[in-house]
This record gives sequence, C-alpha cells and structure tokens, in this order.
Amino acid sequence: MMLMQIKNLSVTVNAKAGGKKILDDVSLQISQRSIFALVGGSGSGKSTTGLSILRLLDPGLTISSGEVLFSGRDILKLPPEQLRQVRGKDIAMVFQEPLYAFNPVLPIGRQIEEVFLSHTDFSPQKRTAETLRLLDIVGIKEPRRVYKSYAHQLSGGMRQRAMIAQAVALKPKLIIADEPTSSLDVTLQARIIELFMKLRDDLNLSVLLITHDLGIVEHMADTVAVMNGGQIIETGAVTQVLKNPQHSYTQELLTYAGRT
Amino acid sequence: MNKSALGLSQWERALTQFCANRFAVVCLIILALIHGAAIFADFLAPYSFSNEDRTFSYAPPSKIHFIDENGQWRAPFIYGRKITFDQYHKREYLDQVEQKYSLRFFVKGDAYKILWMVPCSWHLFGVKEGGRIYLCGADSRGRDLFSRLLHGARISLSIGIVGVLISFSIGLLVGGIAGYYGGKVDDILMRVCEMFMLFPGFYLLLALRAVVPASFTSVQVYVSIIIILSFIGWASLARVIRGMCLSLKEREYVLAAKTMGLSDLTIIIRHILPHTLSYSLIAVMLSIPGYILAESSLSLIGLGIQDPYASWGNLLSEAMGIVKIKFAPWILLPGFFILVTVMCFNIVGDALRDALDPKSS
Repeated sequence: MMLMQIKNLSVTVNAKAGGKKILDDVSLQISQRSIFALVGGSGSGKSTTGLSILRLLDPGLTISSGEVLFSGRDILKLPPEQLRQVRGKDIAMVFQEPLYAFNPVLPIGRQIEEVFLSHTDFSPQKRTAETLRLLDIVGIKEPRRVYKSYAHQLSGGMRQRAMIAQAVALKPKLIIADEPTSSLDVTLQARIIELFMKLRDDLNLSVLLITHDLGIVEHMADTVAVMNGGQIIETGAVTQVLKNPQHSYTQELLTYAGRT
Repeated sequence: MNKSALGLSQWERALTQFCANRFAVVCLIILALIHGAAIFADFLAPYSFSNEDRTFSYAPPSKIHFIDENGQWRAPFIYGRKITFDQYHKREYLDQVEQKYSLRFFVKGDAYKILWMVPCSWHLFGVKEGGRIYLCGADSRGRDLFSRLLHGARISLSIGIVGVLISFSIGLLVGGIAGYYGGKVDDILMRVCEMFMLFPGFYLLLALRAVVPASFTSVQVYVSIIIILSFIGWASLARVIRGMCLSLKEREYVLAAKTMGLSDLTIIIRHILPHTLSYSLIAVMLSIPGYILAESSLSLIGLGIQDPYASWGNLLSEAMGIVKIKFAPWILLPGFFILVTVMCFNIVGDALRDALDPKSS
C-alpha cells in the first residue's frame, strides 16, 4: 500500500531573481513497510528532497511546484500547526552526525523526552519511563546511564542509537534517514542497518534512506532511486537496478563502488 | 567514566579561574554579606525603619564604652545623652554619666516578621527602654541611620535584581524571537529596540516617572520604578542576543528539534537561549549596578522611594546640603554603601567575564 507519494517536486534557489532549479521534477513513491533508498553523489539533491518533505529547507530555497502526498494530505499545503503535528509524529528524521543533532548542553534523555512533551500529554514519570523503554528497544545496554549522559560522552554508535530512539518515539509511519551510517565504522554500520530492519518489522514503518553507499542499499533497501543533478534518473527494485543499470551515471556509480 | 578522564566541565573550569581572582572573591563575599544583611535587616537592625525620637535629631554615633567614669572595666555600655545648644544654636549631645545603658544581645524591640512571614520582635542587639543606640548616628528626625541603611539595602538591592531579571527575560525573549525568525519580525523588533536605545536613559526615566500618579502608595511606587527601569534596560541585551541567535539557529540540533515537531518557542527557550547563558550571566552582573544607581538617582532627587521608607538613594538625599555634611558627616554613609556595592558588582562581573569567555587568556 502506498504511504507517501512525491509528485513533480521542484525546488528553486533564489526564486525572486529568476532562480536555478536544484530539484527538477522529482517524483517517487514509498509504500508501507518498505525501505526506499535515494542514492546519488554530493549535491545531487538527495538531502534537499528529504528536507522538502518536512518543509525544512533553508529560507533561500523555495518549493516552486509539486505535491507531497502523505496519507491523503498534501504536506506542502498544511497550515503550520498541522505541519508541526506531522513532524515527529508521522514523519521523523535521523541525521548523519548525531553529535551535532543533539544539543550539547542537554542530557540525551531530556531531549528524547521533548518529543513526548510536544506531542503527548504524558506525565513526567511516564515520559521518563517511555524514554528508558525506547533506549532499551534500540539496543542500548544501560538506558539509565545514557539517559543522563550528554552527547559528547557517548560513542558514535550509541549516539546514533539514541537518535533513532528519538525518531521512533511516537511510532511514526516514515523515517527519513539522511546518511545514518556515514559517520560510523563498518561493523557499527551493519548493526545500525540491522536495527533499522528490525524496527521496520516491529513498528511497521517505512524508511527513506538517503545515502551514497551502494553496499548499504543492497543490504537494506527494497526500492532505489538514483539522483543526479537534481533529477531522478533511474528508479526500480534494488536487485534490478544494481544488477542491470540502465543509465550511464548508475553504471558509473557502480563502477566506483567496485561492483561491475 | 571518571571525572578526570572527561576533563573539567565548562563550569568547573570557569569556577577555578574565578577563584584564582582573589579580589573578585572578596567582592563576592562582600556582596553576599550585604545581601544577607538586607534579607535579615529586621533582626540585625536595632530599630524599625520608621522608629524615631526627635530629641535625638542628628545625634552623632554612640560611643560604646568598656571602662566607666571610675576607670572600672565592665560589659560594653553606652551613656545616655542629653541635647543642649551652644551659643551658635548648634546641637551638642552631652553624655549623662549617671545614665548607663549596657549593650544587650537578643533583646525585644520593634515587632516585625521574619522573611515577611513569621511574627517576631527579637533583635540582635539593643539597649533597654529609655536609651537609644545609634551605631552610625541619627538623621534629622532621630531615626537610627544603621537601621535605615539595612532596611534601605532591601529596596536598593532588590530593585537591582528584580529589575534585571525582568528586563533580561524580555531582552532574551525579544532577541531570541528576532534572531530565530529573522526577516520582517527581526526588522520590526530591532527598530523598536533602537527606539528605546535612542533616548538618553535618564531623561526617559524621568519622563516615565512623571506618568506615575502622585497618589501611588510606596509599594506601588516601588513596583512602578522596577517596571520603568526594566522597560529601559532590555533593548541593548535584545540586540546582542539576536545576533547570537542568528548563528545559533543554524546549528544542526535546531534543525533536528524542528524535525521532531517542537514548537518555535520551545526551540528558542530550550535549544537556543541556554547557549547564550554565559554571555547573559556576565551582562546581568554588569548591569545590576546601573539599576541600583538609577534607583538611587531617582530617589535622590525625590522621585523614587518616599520617606519614611528608606532606600540608599533617599537616605543620601538628606546629605544634599553642605551644612548638614559639615555637622553630621555620617549621613554620607549611604553613598559609601552604593559605591561599595556597585564596585563589587562590577569587579565580580569583570571576573566572570574573564572566567567564562573562552577567548580571554
């Protein structure tokens, strides 16, 4: 079943002065319980696509056309308050470097709790209990210690797990993961990928995986779209695209990833 | 994970550096003493702020004796005094040798409430009924200047602190909102700030004070002075905080907070403003003296706290004539207290800046 559909999304930089399109007519479909990978080189527009879904683009960038349909509603047309409800509750985001994605002056636990604070009316005790439970779910051994720690006191893997705990707090339907493993070493990457797969099955969610690592795509994703220069140049099932790339840019990507 | 492996936190480091500045530590202790004395003014002072005895107008400070007229050692005491006039009609207070009032501790006196709650009438020291002890001399109506200094400290110091708290809350919030939203909101708020900064502070203060009705009670005057002072003080802070927010809002954790659906106000208060804390703390310390001085100047020219209530400013207003200063120099004491307090705040603020600012050596 279809969860989200992006139709003809275009994003323009410096729209007033004529502007230049950095996303050009991007369309994609993410079905429920699937992992959709968005692959491409630096500056190809992967992250911009992810951020436009939540309408969190830099002020200089404007969405010039298109629709983002999410459970029947166009996110791009939602009033601010409803948009805020979608963020975190229906769609959550995981960032590349959790060290920067956590506020350095607040303990991790307090920051995860903020999700409950702004979307639920849980009592403080319930918020803490839920947070500890979440930290346990994402495979953190000592939830109580992590709860009180600051971001810089944790290892990279722990931080990323905490970040994922925060993202799944309200059982969102979609998680946008922007290079979630790029700052981790190879063994940790594998664990985080396993975690994503497990959460997908347990919590019934979809993942929009933004990455440049084709190895991860192969392991994890069901569908893949390849981006270059702000356009989707090729899309299809992972097995199909990686085995039999149609577009020359995809072939190039595969060559440099060492799998021709 | 032990502490030494993690290194010192920012605050521990700042504390170490602050303590290394001995002079500032001394000033901090002086400030703590003055504030403590203000809080327990009722107990420490032998009299209430309005207890007067006009037969002791401008009585000089009481001398505490240990040896009586016969050369005998005894517990500390003061002589009773009697007012006479010399040939120029100048007041002279003569010790009455036959009247001795021994200094006593924990005596009953004027009733008051401890911390504005518990009724009580014990005072730290005093003399028995009939005598009056003036540690720092008396004013024109024979009120004890020492008692009035302590009671005045309550008003002068609390105006500084409450005023700063209010104006900084406004300044932080306005600066935070202007910096976070940017664009038109920023433009409008900053132009409003500039309008406030445009006027010379003291004249704005006078103009605003003129709007307050003369029929106000002392408490209302006190509150209105605080509000007026905060009203003037927030603008410059708001500008600096706005500048800091412009850069802080680009941090990734602010973006992360947005993706979680936190409201803008929550993001400003929880994720942006705490990062301006070390700057605001310094700014608070350095601007408290401004409030104390502004209140004193208002009271000095008779627009602030009104008699019989005491603040350091209106106590000092008694010292506006050269003749009074010549014959009763102790009425300048409130000025000394203002000087010391303002200096201490400035020195502590400077030391805080050295300790908290990562760019200082």
